Amino acid sequence: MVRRSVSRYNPEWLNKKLVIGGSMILVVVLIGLVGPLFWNTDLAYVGSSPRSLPPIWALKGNIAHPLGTENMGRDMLAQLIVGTPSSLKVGLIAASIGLGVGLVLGSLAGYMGGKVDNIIRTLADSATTIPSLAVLVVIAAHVRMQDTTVMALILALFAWPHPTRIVRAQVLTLRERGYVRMAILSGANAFEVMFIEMLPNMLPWLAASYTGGISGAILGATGLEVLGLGPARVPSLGLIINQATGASALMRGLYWWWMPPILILMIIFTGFFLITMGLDEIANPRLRGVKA
Amino acid sequence: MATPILQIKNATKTFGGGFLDSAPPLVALDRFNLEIHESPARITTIAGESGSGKTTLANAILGFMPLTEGHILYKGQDIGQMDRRGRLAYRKEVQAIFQDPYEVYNPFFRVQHIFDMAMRHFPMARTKKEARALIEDALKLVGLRGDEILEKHPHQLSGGQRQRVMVARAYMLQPRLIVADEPVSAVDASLRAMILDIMLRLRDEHGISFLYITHDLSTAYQIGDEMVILFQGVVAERGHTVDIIEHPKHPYVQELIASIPAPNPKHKWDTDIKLPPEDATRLQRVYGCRFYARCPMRMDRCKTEPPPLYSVGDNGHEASCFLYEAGTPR
Repeated sequence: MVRRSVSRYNPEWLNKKLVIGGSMILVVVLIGLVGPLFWNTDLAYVGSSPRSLPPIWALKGNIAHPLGTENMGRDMLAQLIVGTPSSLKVGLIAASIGLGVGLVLGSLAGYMGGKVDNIIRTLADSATTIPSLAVLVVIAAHVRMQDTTVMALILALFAWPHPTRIVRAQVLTLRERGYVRMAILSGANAFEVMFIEMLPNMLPWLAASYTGGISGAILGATGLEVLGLGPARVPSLGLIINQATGASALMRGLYWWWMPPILILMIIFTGFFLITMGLDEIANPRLRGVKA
Repeated sequence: MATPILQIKNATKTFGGGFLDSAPPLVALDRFNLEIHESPARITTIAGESGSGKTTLANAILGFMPLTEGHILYKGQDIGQMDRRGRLAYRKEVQAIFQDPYEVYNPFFRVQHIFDMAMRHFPMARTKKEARALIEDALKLVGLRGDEILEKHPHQLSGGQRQRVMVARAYMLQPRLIVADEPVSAVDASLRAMILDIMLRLRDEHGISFLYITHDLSTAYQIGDEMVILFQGVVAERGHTVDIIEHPKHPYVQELIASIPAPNPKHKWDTDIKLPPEDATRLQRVYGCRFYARCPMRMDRCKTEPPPLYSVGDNGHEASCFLYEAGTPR
């Protein structure tokens, strides 16, 4: 007889894609969490170090600045340690607000239908047609940004329509499912139907929307920072790229200046993508094939 | 006589035909009446072809779909106007089994969930042990054991097992009425016999009535007490199952029963049934008899005047056909 484990540490959570994607994100998160314990983050500011030192493996590399320094005498390692978490934070805040608003609006629209649905749907559809970067540029140019939280709030303005549409569409299809009817026959109320029966079945879509939302918000934030519209005092991945392009780092061969933030962004985007795919397989046992 | 457990009055459901909808509304169910009494428990069959309004009726009774007109009364109370407590009582007493045993399981949860959910809202057991005993008892009825299936995911069960679990779930709640919407259409022949047999046992030993919705007259003949034959949303014929199957009166029902295949290889299919295209039948919808376009016995008045139900025999045997206007069964 096959005995199935009912513990929470189910082997199905050891999905390959999820583990790889999760480790990638974990590494990036650890840069920000553990980094400050080992490295002096004051080196991230102007004039704290010699200028334009190459990284340690290059000819004139120096152990005091293993990833080199840039034009204005900022240590690259310290900049990454400070900048990476601030980029992640923007993504998390914006996507969480977007998903929260999307869950409420989407389930209202899908469940209540009629006028409520018409209003919410029209709003969400119109919002998706607006070219967000153009609007963000205008807003960002007029708002004084001291830190990244304000920027996250601005990005959240465009993070809700996509989750709203996904949740609404899912509620509409799930509403007709046999198991939803079974739950209603078992006396479940609208709240239980939504959160116990429907929500778990939306997880793949929600996870895709959420991780996509985080990536999108990070991309949006980076875009604004590269354009020089982000907070200029706190280092962020986009700001490093902005300063590197401003100082023609590409032409001058200072690859250690512009390449690390791009690499970290690539790890972030790939990691979230793999997490989405892994979650999909866990949330939907049918995708797992016959091994269970 | 006591108040019927379920009373369907003048139930009408139309689809479409809204303010901006140019197409005429589709009448799925037209002024349908039915009474189901608590005792003695009976199996009432609602039979008809696709689009006859069977499932619309089931959805309306289970409260998934509001009626356009008419009322459904549970012990004299309109189910559309119940408060939360009344509705919960209604839910416990009127349960359902559906056709598709795949769709009714949430793929996210183990089979246990389907019982837990019901236990949570209808307090039947005080301890986990009591609950488990109730579940085991219900599963025993359908020939399953809890340790075999409860911890499994629904996709690990066979179609037959799933449908039997649904029967067990409905039985566990000890309802007075089970709406069984094509419960055996998706299972194989041996399991079909088993489920029909369980239905009979629930009726005889536990006093549970059934509203058995099917397109399959032979299973209705096996287990049904009363029968209503629907055609395009109206009653063609109603009465005792045996009376209808053995002495059908309405031309549609006569054709229907002639079309039941006999399990006899020497039987030659000599009845030549000619059906006009669907469009022609739809045109007759709003006016006269809905069967006009396909009827071999049609008269001119059938085109303009809908026939009422005429008594054609004992035990409330009725048919909606002008042939029986004079009350003389042929």
